[in-house]
Amino acid sequence: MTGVLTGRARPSSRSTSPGRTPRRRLRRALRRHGKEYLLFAALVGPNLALILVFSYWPVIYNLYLSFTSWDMISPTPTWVGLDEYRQLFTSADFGHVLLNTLKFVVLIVVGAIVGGLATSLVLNQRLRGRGLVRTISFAPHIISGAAIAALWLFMLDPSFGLLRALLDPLGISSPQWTTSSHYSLYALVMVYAWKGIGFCAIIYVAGMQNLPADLFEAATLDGANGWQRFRHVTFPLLSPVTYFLVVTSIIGAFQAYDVTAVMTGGGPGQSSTTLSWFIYQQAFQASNAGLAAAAAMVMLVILLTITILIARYGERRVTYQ
Amino acid sequence: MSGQRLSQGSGATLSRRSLLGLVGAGTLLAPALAGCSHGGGSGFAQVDVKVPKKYDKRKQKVVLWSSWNASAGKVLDGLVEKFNDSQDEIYAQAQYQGNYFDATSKVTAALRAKAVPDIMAFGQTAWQIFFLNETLEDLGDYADEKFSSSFHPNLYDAGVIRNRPYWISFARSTPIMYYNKDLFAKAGLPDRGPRTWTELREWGPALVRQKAAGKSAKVTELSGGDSWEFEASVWEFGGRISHGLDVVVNKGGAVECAEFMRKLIFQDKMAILASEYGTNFNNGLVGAYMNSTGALAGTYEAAKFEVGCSPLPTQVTRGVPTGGAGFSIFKGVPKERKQAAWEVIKFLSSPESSAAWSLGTGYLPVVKAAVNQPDYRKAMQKDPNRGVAVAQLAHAGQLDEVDAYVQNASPIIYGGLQKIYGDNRPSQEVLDDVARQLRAGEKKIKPMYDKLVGGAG
Repeated sequence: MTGVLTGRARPSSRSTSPGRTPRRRLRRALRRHGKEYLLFAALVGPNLALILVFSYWPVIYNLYLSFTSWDMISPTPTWVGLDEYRQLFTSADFGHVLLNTLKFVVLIVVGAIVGGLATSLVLNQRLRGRGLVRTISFAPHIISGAAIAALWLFMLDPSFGLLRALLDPLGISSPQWTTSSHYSLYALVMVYAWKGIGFCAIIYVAGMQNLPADLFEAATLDGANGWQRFRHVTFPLLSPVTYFLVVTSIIGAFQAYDVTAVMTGGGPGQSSTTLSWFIYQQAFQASNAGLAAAAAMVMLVILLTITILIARYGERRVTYQ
Repeated sequence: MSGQRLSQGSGATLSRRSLLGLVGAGTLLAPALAGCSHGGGSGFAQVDVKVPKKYDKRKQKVVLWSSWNASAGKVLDGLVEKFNDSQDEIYAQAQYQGNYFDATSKVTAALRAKAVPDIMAFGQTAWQIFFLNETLEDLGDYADEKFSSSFHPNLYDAGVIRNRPYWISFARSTPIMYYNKDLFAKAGLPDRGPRTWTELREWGPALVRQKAAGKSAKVTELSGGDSWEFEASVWEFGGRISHGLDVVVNKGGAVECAEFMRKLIFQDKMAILASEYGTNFNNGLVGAYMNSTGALAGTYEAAKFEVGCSPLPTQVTRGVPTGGAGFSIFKGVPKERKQAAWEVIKFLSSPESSAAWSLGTGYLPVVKAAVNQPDYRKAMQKDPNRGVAVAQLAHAGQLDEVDAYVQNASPIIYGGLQKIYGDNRPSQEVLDDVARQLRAGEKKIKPMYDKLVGGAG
């Protein structure tokens, strides 16, 4: 393979016209490594084609759409240059959406990871029925978002919800969780974080079971108490798991859509509208594909930046065993 | 150069530059290619349809995309089944595609994929954008005088532009007032709906004294997920969403109406903004509320009390916008499929079908002769609630133009209502912002509107 790529074959003395030598080189290389090339193409080709068609092509086409104005029904988009981006960045609504997204992502990631870690500490104990509890706590991650949203909508309903039954005896009236802009975003955060806790917990439990027991024994012999063992041994050793969960939770929170669709529809007003919901709204409610595509490009840039930052600075803090 | 290499058939020599070149060329060409046969041509394929063995010899298949499931979906399936048994040339199938918004998104995607349903049941505010983009078939050549005059003109005309029909009324409705007869009786109120909004407010103290599920009952619940009911009450307060394309939602009756409702919620504590519209009423927690006549069958199923229906309360004037859905056919569908689709529409628009649909769902009987069907007459005598919307039809009108034609008008309006009803924000301030957004939408569609609709209704 290397030979082909570096062109070790010497030019033949018979090569008088330009172009003949490379062709001969190629022929020789193909003869020598043809089977390898074929195998390489057969193995890589289909995957490469799928990635190009389903991952890169939509991104490239989306980039093109972001420079157009299009209602998705008219035959062709109209080229408008940077107009859609200008509209995005001069609109107060979009600033509000970005701020919502920031709050939403930070709260969900922190909530799910802290909650997941706390749950995993319990689930890692040798308790009776541990398997069942693990299954139950993982369930929210695999149940459909729409079903979870419908359930929470019922629980949070201030007129006949479960929460009302709990608060009424205390003389507290249940807040208008989904119909007041003071609470709607936090109602969504609560549900998404709850949904993520089980997943984080199970991944943490798996991580904890691979930690070397001798370190804990040594720490115990040194007189470290439970909190100190967690703070100085468990948590640092779990940092690769935390790193993985932070990255995947951030991406998941940015893409959150299903629960929002059922519970608040981004409202009241735009109080619970995050970037992903804004993109959906613009594309499919307002038939504004150009603006939606521009917002999607903004989301792509934000996610890429976050991922690069985490990879560059976050990974330094990760301790591998 | 790269072309030469490719022509030699050597995949190994495809350089990174030429690969990128190909991707780039594809990017630029794709939109142009996508537009090639859109709208005008006759190349639209049919969406997937599984034909039962019983009908697999039929020459034509017709797929109808609808937004009716549950009980209404069953009634539609029953009618389609009747159509299939009434002849042996065409097999029709109704396919549920989610609510009006979802179905519209799906059909937009279907248009891009150039595989569309033969009949699309568009919501009242969804078909116009497809019309403005010239994707809908002019049904004037199919609908003869006998057909068009069989409909209630107030309903049929909603789909007519410059004397040509593009959207045939089917599941049409107006909002009516539903009230909880048992709760009204307990509160000592008359067995009828309120005649005016002020009267409903006056009844408030008697209603909120009643306990429902351990809490004080509310007078009404309001919707933050649709603008239709709001538009109806705006009309009654003497306002409008727009006059033609001139947006007036932040003026006069519209602002007074929103303020009245806001006070009912926050000052009088008699009303609530529903998180799931209708659930409070069906659970006996509110006395009365506005909803589509098409919700009648569902309300009967869900409510555990005796349900009463009445015309909408008036205030300054009387008027009610029609809503619901109707049928359109896409221009780009091959001729034979369009003809077969029309046969299905004709069947569903017969007095018998219209009566059966109306009886099964509560939607208006769109065809005048439907009310003369023996079953319908019997049902009207037995259940006076069914006659309310029909009687109210005399006061019905088409949706205000901006609500009908600006694609995002309804979400913009109800987004504003959520702020007023949910956050107690002053109506004038919020509706000024709503008007600004509607005007931006209006600007976008104005050239197409002027070209294709103009002043004609």
